[in-house]
Amino acid sequence: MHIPDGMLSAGVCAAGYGLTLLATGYSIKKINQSREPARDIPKASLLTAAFFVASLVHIPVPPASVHPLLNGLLGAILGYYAFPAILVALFLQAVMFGHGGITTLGINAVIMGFPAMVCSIIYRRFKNSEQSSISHSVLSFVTGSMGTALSVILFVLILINFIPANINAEAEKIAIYTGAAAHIPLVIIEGILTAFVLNYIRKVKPELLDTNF
Amino acid sequence: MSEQETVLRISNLNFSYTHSGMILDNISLNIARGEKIGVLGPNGTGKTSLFLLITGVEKPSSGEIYLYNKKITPGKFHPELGMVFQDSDDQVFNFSVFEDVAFGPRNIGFTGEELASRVNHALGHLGISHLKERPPHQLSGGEKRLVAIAGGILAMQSRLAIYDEPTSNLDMKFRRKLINFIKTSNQEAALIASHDLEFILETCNRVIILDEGKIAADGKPQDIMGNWDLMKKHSLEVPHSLWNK
Amino acid sequence: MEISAKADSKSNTIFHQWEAESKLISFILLMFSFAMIRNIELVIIMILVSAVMFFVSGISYSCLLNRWKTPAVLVLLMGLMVLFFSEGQILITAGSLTITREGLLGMIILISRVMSILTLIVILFETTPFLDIITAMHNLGLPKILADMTLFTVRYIFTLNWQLKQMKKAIILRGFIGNKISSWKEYAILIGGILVRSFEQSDRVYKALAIRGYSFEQIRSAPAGWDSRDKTMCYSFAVLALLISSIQVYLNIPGV
Repeated sequence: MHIPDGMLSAGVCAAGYGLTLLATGYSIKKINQSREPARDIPKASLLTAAFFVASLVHIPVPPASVHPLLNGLLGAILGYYAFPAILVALFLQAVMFGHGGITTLGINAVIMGFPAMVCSIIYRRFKNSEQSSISHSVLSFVTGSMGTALSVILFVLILINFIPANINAEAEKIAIYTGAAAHIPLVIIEGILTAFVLNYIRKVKPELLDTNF
Repeated sequence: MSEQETVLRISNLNFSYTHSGMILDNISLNIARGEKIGVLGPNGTGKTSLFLLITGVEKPSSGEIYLYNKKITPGKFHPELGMVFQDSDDQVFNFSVFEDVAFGPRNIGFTGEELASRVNHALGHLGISHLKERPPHQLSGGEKRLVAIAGGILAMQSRLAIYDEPTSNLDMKFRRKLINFIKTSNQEAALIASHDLEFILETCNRVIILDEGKIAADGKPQDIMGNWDLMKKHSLEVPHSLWNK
Repeated sequence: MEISAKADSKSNTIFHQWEAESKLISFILLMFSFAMIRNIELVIIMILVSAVMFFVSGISYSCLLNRWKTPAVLVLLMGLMVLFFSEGQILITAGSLTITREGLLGMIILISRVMSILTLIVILFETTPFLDIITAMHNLGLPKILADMTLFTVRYIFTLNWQLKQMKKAIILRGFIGNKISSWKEYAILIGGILVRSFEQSDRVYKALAIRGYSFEQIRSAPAGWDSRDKTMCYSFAVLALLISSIQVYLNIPGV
């Protein structure tokens, strides 16, 4: 779900970089206010690498399989490091596999990163250590599926609206609906996966969720 | 031993993590120049914690550590103290072998020619100059261990070298290479934790047993490791080469 | 997936010799000017420029084709949408589908733009060591947090990927098949497992770094000097990028 180079006009790409600059600046400011950036940077980086690797896993949706986005989960775990982590991961995906692009790096970071930031706020706002396993699962499901849903909406809207050509309005509307509908299964899978993963971590390594990134 | 110069002095060291019980219980230890000390003991008895306290990465609950007459302040950078970690992947983090070995000296303040010469010297000493441009993730376990030693001890010219399970996951060739290196190394003293007792026997001239956070024995390797009762008491075994002695 | 500390040493073209900082600026300027292109006349120039650069760089066809494959499905889908649903002068009508002149041109422009920019990216990253690119980006103002995170992340992607594969092999040995919806839980545990392992390892990595004096304020290296050839190359690329974008802006003016 990344936009390749050349799909969008230079203006939209520049706007994407502008928004990315703002989000990164905000995140870095918050990180520098934290206790120990020197301690947290290696931690956030290894988790970023783990997310990168985890997103390469094929999740079966018979008869096919999908790669998870995991941006909701990433937001929940990485907090203020979520946006920089996504920016780094997208850059590496573009360089290593050619997923996404360099001119479109900013806009792709917006598509993946803004929802992650929203998920981070929501998960942290409603999570507490006393809550029951069921309410934590529901919160995790919402976090995971919302991350993906918001990304899908941004992706489809940006792609269809800003692709530089004079497509007629009717076709545009149909394309948006089809594009969004095709991703509904992914939204559900992400929710379920995120709930499983966060419950697992809560059981085996609760410190990971309590780390104040 | 008292006439010899003391390299490291540990007095009344206590340590515990907030979420668990006592890890180290009132440890006192003097390390003299020229000593290579084997640290034995079951898993989870605080060997790694002791090492991290000595290097100043962890903060003790109480007690003090002096390197010569300089106090080790937790959280400060002490290049005189070098450590090789059990898992080299924890340690060899950089993008190329050269950059990784250069990391410590660069933080000390070396640049340019001086930096390059330190790195090249460290790599040359271990016979791994040919790995200089390689990314660490492509190296074998043995090669990574040598890079860790080059960067963790040699390039920083540490005075005290600390090895945490240095032979774990090494094949015979690299194990032998490591034995020869430690025997001839020119750091002023060394601390080596290992379950490889034959290795300790070959490389060390003093041994301590650490059990349940306390120093349970301290002496010459043959005396301690050849003592059946003592070794059994601390869940250890007398190495084969001492069976007939 | 492979990233190396040094660029491929077999070839030594003008791109390989070019210093990373000015090269990065030049390529980004050119990429953005390509992204602006909306007219078929400029498409021809764009294809010519990227083709010449590709031949000079000495990169293999297979390498380029591999990169072109990745976005192919999405680009083709979007290309077809532009082809069939653009308004304008009708060329062909087949049933309910019509192809307009604008649609046809739009598709050609879109696809060639994607391919040309990708070609530039392949040339940039195949002829420059990755470490040099990150250092250059840092010298050009990339915050240290991002530079450090990028290098740490790349380093541990390989280790963690290997660990994840081992974990998967271990559960396959115990009968995991993993092609059913019911195996989502096991996949979640694999993902959770690799996150927990990376978190535990990160604590040891931090300690190993601290022993060797890692501090956040440390400066990586001095900015590289540009020699006269780097400058000439950079200026030529800038002029070319400026030329392409000005022509495009001129062509956008109504009535031209």
